[in-house]
Amino acid sequence: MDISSLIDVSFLLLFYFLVSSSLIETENDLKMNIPSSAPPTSEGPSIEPLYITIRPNGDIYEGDQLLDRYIGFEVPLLSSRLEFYNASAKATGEEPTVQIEVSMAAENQSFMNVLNALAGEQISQISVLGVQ
Amino acid sequence: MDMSPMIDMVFLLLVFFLVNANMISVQIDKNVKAPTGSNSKPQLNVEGRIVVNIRPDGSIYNEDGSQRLDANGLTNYITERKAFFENKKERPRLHLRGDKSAVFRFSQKVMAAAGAQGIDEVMFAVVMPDK
Repeated sequence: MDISSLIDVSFLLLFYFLVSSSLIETENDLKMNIPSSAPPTSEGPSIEPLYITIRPNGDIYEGDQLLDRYIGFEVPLLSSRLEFYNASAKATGEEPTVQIEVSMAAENQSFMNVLNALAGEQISQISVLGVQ
Repeated sequence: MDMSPMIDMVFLLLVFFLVNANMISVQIDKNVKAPTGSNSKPQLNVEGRIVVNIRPDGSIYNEDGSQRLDANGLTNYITERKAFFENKKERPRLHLRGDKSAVFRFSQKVMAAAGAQGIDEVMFAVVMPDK
């Protein structure tokens, strides 16, 4: 039995799937909960939430204090600030809560930088406010 | 010459790449370049994902990027997909593929539209940074 044509076809298919699988960039998930419109049932956290602001140019501030400029996707100062905040929240037995104020004109990447840093610290209590 | 081991190997590789290719879970609008996030998790659970694409200019598209959605279209699209997934007993979630250079205003718009429909979870599509 002549099987060379079978092998030819198999190789063609092999290369097709090989190339197509390496060309397509796989995407991952960053999860966030959309806060419900219902008012919170508990009396609220007793620990002061951390207020993060994303300016229109993508720079990240805590209050008036600049943490990270928007260059690529590295946010070292925000990460260390979150780590510190997370540790102090855990020490008092409270759930760390972060409020993000995002400028409507900020790029998605700058918002993802903050979400990514929060995911790195496993902080899930996030509220997001879009501001003009 | 005995060819059977080679054919075995080729078929094994073929099946491997075939399965791998099928694991790409949601359809992808190629005009959207996802932002980068190093702490993201793989898309393991594909159930109930309502995929919304936001292109760099802020225009909003459906899952495969074939149809542009305005404010009403977006609400209808989310309602329809939500009903579809609830029929299949899957919990609907928003899968937001926002281009990295699109501004936040449009993401906010989509999240608000989804939140108004009672969807409480959003997955942002991101890619891992190149090593």
